[in-house]
Amino acid sequence: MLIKFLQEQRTIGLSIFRVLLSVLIIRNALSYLPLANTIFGKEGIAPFVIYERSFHGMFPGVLYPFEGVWDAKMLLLLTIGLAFLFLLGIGRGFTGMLLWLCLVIFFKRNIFIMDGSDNVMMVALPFLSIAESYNYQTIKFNIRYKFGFWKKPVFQFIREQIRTLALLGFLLQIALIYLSTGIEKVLLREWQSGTALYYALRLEEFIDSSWNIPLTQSALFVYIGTYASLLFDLSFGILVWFRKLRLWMVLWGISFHVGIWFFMGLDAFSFIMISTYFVFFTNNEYIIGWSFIKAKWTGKKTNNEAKEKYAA
Amino acid sequence: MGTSQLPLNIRKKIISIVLWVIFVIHFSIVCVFIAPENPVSKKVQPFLLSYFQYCEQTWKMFAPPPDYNTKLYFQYSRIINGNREETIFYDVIKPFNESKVKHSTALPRISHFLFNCCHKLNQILKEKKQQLILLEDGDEKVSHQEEIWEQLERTTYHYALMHYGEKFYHQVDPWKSSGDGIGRDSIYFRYRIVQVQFPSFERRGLDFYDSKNCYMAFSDSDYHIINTLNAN
Repeated sequence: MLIKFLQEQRTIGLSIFRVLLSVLIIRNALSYLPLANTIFGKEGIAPFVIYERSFHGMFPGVLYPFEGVWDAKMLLLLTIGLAFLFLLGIGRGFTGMLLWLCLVIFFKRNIFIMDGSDNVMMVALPFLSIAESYNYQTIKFNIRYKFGFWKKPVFQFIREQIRTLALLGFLLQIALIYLSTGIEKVLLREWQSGTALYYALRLEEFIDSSWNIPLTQSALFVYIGTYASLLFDLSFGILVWFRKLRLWMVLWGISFHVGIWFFMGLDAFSFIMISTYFVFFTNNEYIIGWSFIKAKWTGKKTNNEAKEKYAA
Repeated sequence: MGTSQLPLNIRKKIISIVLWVIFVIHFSIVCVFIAPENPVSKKVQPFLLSYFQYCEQTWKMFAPPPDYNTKLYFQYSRIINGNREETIFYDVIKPFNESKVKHSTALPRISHFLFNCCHKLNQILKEKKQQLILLEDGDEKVSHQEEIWEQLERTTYHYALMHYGEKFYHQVDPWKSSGDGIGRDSIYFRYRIVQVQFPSFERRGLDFYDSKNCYMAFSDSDYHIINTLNAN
């Protein structure tokens, strides 16, 4: 199964995820701009000494100062610029890693503001930068592979291997996120008794719809919702690897995250998790899916031409 | 024979093995870190924390969901002619929760910042309290309690709250119009974290918003920290 998996191309899904991730980073950075100094400035809400301490040891020379009025804003604008380049695939992995470094600096400056979506971004971006996510939605510049040694078969082999492992690592990481959350949940009383959803939906910080309180009055809704989300967390990381179950698991995941988005207002987290699902599908599945949709739309029979073209 | 003189397919195999070994090691470390508390992760915790300091791997989302709402109150006081003058307790998180524009701005991040600090402090306190329960009343218990407070005051979460308290003071500026020339270094700051417990699931039929159904876990002695606010 693993060998078959490694042979399958997922460049379409990776490219879609790259675009969606970049959009989320741009949206976040734009929302930070008006409060840049409050959140990240030297005199901001988080003590500067924590940031200084956190960077010592690893990158002692690159401590971004955040001292001037414009420092935080400049870094945010740089992040927006890099995210835009990454969205277009310009600079490829190099842009991706610079973008990741910007995110590291921001979250080291104020680690207390980080939420689940930031965690996902931070672990996904290095894998995504390395993996082959630049085949689609990309503005191409012919500046690749100018170095002679890079053309040697052995280096090309290394590059391919690293890209394949980065893709596998990315998918494994997403699967582990769900699996570890599921295992943590199943050990707890509230989840075992099926009542956890009642508590989660009533947290003031996360009440985002007028439906939360009336719905959690219903025992049936609470039990079904709790066990369904527990079952999803535990099963997604395993079942999504099986081709026949993949689409169903992804549809289940989308409904799960849309629910979180609607009831708890965790928009960024839901957005990033749903975006990762694109990578689970192979190029072939996209082509077949697209030809199926096109055939349905135009009323013609399924177009096999696309499949044959892809196979060739 | 140098490595570069090896046949290409052997070199490829070696490279492949090395890369796979790195891959397996990385994900083994991830698995140890994200697994529920176990002897291995406890033993290698310092290494794990430094390994993941640039890629947070905490995925305990809503496991467990807190069964209480966290409230944070700030109070400022000053001493004039030997008398203590106190402000009301400002509800710090509430305005963020009530904000209607939360999805389009970074305001929820500030609320998240405060919530995180309170939650972590509570967590530490709960763990330490477990140790206290085992001790009998007496000098040892008192000194242990003081030790716990000292430990809490050394945490970054406490420090962050103190820092935010200073910012908040400038925001509300309670005595700006008095013009009595009292220096800011004489202002005292106190924060109080309150857990308002939900009615249990079995009592959900009762009105959630009726305070009679909420369990107010005020704990003056536990969360009551007074420090001089260095506002200069």
